[in-house]
This record gives sequence, structure tokens and C-alpha cells, in this order.
Amino acid sequence: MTARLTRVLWHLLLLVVVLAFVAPIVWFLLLAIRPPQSGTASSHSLLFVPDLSALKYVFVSPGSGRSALWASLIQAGGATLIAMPLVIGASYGLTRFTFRGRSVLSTWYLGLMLAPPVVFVLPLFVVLSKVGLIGGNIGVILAFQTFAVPLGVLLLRGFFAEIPVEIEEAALVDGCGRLRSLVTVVLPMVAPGLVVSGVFVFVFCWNNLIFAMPMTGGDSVPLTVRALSFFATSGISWNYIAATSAVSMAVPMLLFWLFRRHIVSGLTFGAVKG
Amino acid sequence: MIVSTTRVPAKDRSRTRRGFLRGPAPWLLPSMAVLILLSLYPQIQALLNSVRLYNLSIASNPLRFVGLRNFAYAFADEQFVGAIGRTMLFAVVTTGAELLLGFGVALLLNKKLRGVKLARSLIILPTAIAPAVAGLAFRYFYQTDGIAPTLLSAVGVTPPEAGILGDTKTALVGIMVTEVWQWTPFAALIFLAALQGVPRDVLEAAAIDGAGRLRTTWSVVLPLMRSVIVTVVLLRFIATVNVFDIVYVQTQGGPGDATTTLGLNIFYTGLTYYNIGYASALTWLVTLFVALLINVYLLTAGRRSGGLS
Repeated sequence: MTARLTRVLWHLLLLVVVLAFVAPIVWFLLLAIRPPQSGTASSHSLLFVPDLSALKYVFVSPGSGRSALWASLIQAGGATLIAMPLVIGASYGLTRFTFRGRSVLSTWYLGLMLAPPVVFVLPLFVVLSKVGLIGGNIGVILAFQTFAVPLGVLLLRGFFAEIPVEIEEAALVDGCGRLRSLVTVVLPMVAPGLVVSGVFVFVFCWNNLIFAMPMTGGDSVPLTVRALSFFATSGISWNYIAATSAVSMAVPMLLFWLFRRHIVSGLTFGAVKG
Repeated sequence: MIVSTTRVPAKDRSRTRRGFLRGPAPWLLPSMAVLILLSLYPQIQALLNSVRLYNLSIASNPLRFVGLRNFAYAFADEQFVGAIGRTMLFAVVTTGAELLLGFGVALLLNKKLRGVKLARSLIILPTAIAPAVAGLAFRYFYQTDGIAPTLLSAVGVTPPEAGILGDTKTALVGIMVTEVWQWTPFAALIFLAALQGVPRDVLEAAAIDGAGRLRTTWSVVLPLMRSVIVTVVLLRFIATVNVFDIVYVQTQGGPGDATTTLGLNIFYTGLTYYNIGYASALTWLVTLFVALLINVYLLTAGRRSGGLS
């Protein structure tokens, strides 16, 4: 009997822990479809008729969130597309060759990944504003490279290192060039690695605030920054903030759910195998 | 997992194939060029600016060379020194909490319970969302008429009148809770992966020797997980020293400067007050400090797996 009781208690604890981490997300998502409340009193009721007017206001008409959604997609997608060829090249170079300064280079990439973003934001802002790239998509896509490339390399390198070099050598002997052996032999073998590093680079760019905030403006303001625009002196429009955030959250949550098996190794830059 | 040596002497290679791509340079130079242009060059600019009087609200160009005065001023600057203290408090408390809670959750998720696989997948979700969005969600909960004060009152704790984020005594605590909520799953899932890597026969041997469950965890499992624990502590400590987004969206550093961490202090100095010279000196001080932490990390965790350096 006590054994049975303890099992029930363990399951109860598991439920409480899961709720502690998931309920806040659900509670905030619900705000996006709560009917606009009278006065300032928040309703904590779970029973309400869903109201899509906040989502409509943000994404349809006037739809200030629509340009933000596009900006998020363009910036995170563009940054990933630019970063990945560089990441593949660097991962290949770091795992297939021994050369002087190799560990210095790896340490530099790791350092870029772990350094506080604020130390890049300010100098980059100064440099990018001199060439007129502040306030659009291009400047922030370039700024994202400072962490996108090192992050991608730290993730992908481990996958490259596990491909036996002999496999590639067979291709080289057969008369393939290195580029061809990379594309036809190595890349298909590291496909999971390409997906993991691509997803992480995309999500990190998508979630970014500190670079996007000072470097974008007007139509290039992404979702994370747009959500803050609903804090007005006239009052806080929580429904609009939640509607914007809901769309911002949906994309990385979906990606993490789809690739949940690889998330742990991704989050530690491959230091711990998940 | 088979660890293969992927290095083959360069000499053998050049014999198999001659050509442009046979050396490491063409593979590495594109990414290096981009990072030199976008991070090294701006940082060197920042180093040059750090020894200048350069304030965009006074003049659009650097005014004059001031030597190390910007650096010297930093240590007398109460706002900067205060931000260091606050950031250290924030980093130590949140890293400690994430470590303990993460370990507890990992032990729970390692048990054979119904639905535990689904629980493992669901618990990832907080780490997926933008820290800025997590910050906004908790700011909503913390409002004076929000769910958090309501729940606190229900258990007999009187929430501060100005709101959790509006009171200088509780604002930083509120942000810490957000941070711990978002990143405890990260620690938990890594610890879980490590727990699952503990060989079963080791646990069985401990059981045969008469060790209870607590005793086994303490003297068998924990020592085996030492390096993973060190990795998590250092990664989270560095990340929490770097904290910016969740603080910015919740309080902008207020009330007063009660939650102004290093990141916000430097951000405001440079991008709100346009004191580029001084802010550049501050970014270099922080860079040096984090470089020190990264070296500690490399010496302890990185060497173990060879995975990171």
C-alpha cells in the first residue's frame, strides 16, 4: 500500500514540475485570445470566449506585427543562409587539417560565443552607422554573424569529427575534388548536424533582442522588439503584447519540439552528448 | 561512440590530390574574414575609442586622447561598481538555483514514471522562447493585479504595494525567478543525459554493497557527474553575467537602478548617453573579465572532452 502511495506521489510531483514550466507559457498565450478586459482588473478565469481581435489588430489590420513577422523571418533566415556556408567551411577546415593556430582559432570562436553581446553591440553600432547600415535588415543580419558563425561551428564540428576520414579519402582517390567529396560524401552524412546547427542559429537570431533593438527601425523591427512598442505612455496593451509574443514563441517552440532529441547537445554547444 | 582520429598528416594528403582546396586556408578564411570584419575590427575600434574622450552628445568625432582615464574612472563610478555587485549577486543566486533545481528535476525525470517521456519533451519549451518574451510574460504575471501577487496573497505573503517589479527590494528577485524558470530545464536536461550515462552495473554494485538510494546518489553518481556539473555551472554563470534581455524588458534597470546589471549599464552609457569612449572602456573591462571565466571553463570542462577547444 505504501509503495503504491509513493508511486502516486511521484506522479503528482512530476505533474507539478511539468506544470511549473509549461503553465506560464500557456497562461501568457491565453492572454492573446482573452477578451479585452474592462478597466485594469485582470481576469484569472480560465473560462472565457476566445477573442481574436488582438491577433487581428496586430497581424491583419492595421497589422504592425505583419511587417515585424516578415522582419524576423528575413533577419533570422537571411543570417542563417549567410552563416551556414561559412560554418560548413570552418567546420571542415577545423576537423580535416592540422595546422598551427588551430586551437587558438577554436578558442576564439568559443570566446565569441560566450562573450557578453553588449561588448559587440556598441562597437558594431558605431561601425555600422558610419556605413549607413543601421535601421534596415542588412545591418542586423551582419551583426548576427558575430554569434551565428561561432555557434554553428561549435555545433557542426563535432558531427564532422565523427565521420571517419578514410571514407572521404576513398572519394579523393577516386578522383573527386575536395569540394565534390564534401558535397557528395560528407554533407549527406552530417545531415543531422546541419539541421541542428541550422535550427540553433535560426532560433538564436529569431530570439535576439539586444542587436535588433538599436539596429532596426520602421519595417525592419522584428517581433521581439515590436512587442515592446505596446508599452505606451497612455497605457500597456497587454493583449497586443501577448499576440505579438505568441507568434514569436510559436516558431522556436515548434522547432525545439521537432528536434527535441538534439536539443541538449545543441544547448551546450556539443559539450555534452544528449 | 567510436572516437576516430580525423587528422591525417597534411603531407599524405597533398600527394593524393593537388589543388586549391588541399590546404586549410580556403576553408577557414571566409568565416575568419567575416568575424575579423564584424567583431575584431569593431572591438579594436572600441579599444582605440576607450582611450579617448568621445561623446556623441558633445561632438560627432573623438575629441582628444585621455590615456587610461576612462578605465580609472570606471572603478570610481558608483553606477558601474554597483552594477558589478548586482550582476554578481544575480549570477551567483540564479546559477546556484538552476543547479540545485535542475539536479532535482533531472532525478525526477530519470525515474520510471508514466508520462515521463512526454514530460522531458515538454520541459524543454521555456528554453526555446526568446528571453525577451519570457521576460514580458513574467512582467505580466507580476503586475499588481496579475496572477503572481494573487497567488502570493493566497499563501499569506503580502506582495509589495508598488508591484513585485516596482519595489526596489523585490524587483531583482522577480527577474531572478524569471531567469531560473527559463533555464532550470537546460540544467535538468543536461544532468538527465549525464544520469542516463551512469553505467547500470556501477549502481548495482553500490546496491549490493548495501548503499541506500541517497547514499548511492551522493557518493557514486555525483562524483561521476563532476565534470558535467562544472560545465553547467560555468556555462550558466557566464550566461547570467551577460544577462540583458529579460532585465531590459521587465524593468529597464529600475526602479532607480535597483536592477541595472552590467549589460544595461554599458548599453545605456553607450547607446542612450552616447558616451562612446567611456562605454568602450567598460566593454573592454567586461571582455577581460569574461575572457578570464572562459579560460577557467577551458581549463576545467573543455580539456575533459576535448569537445570545445
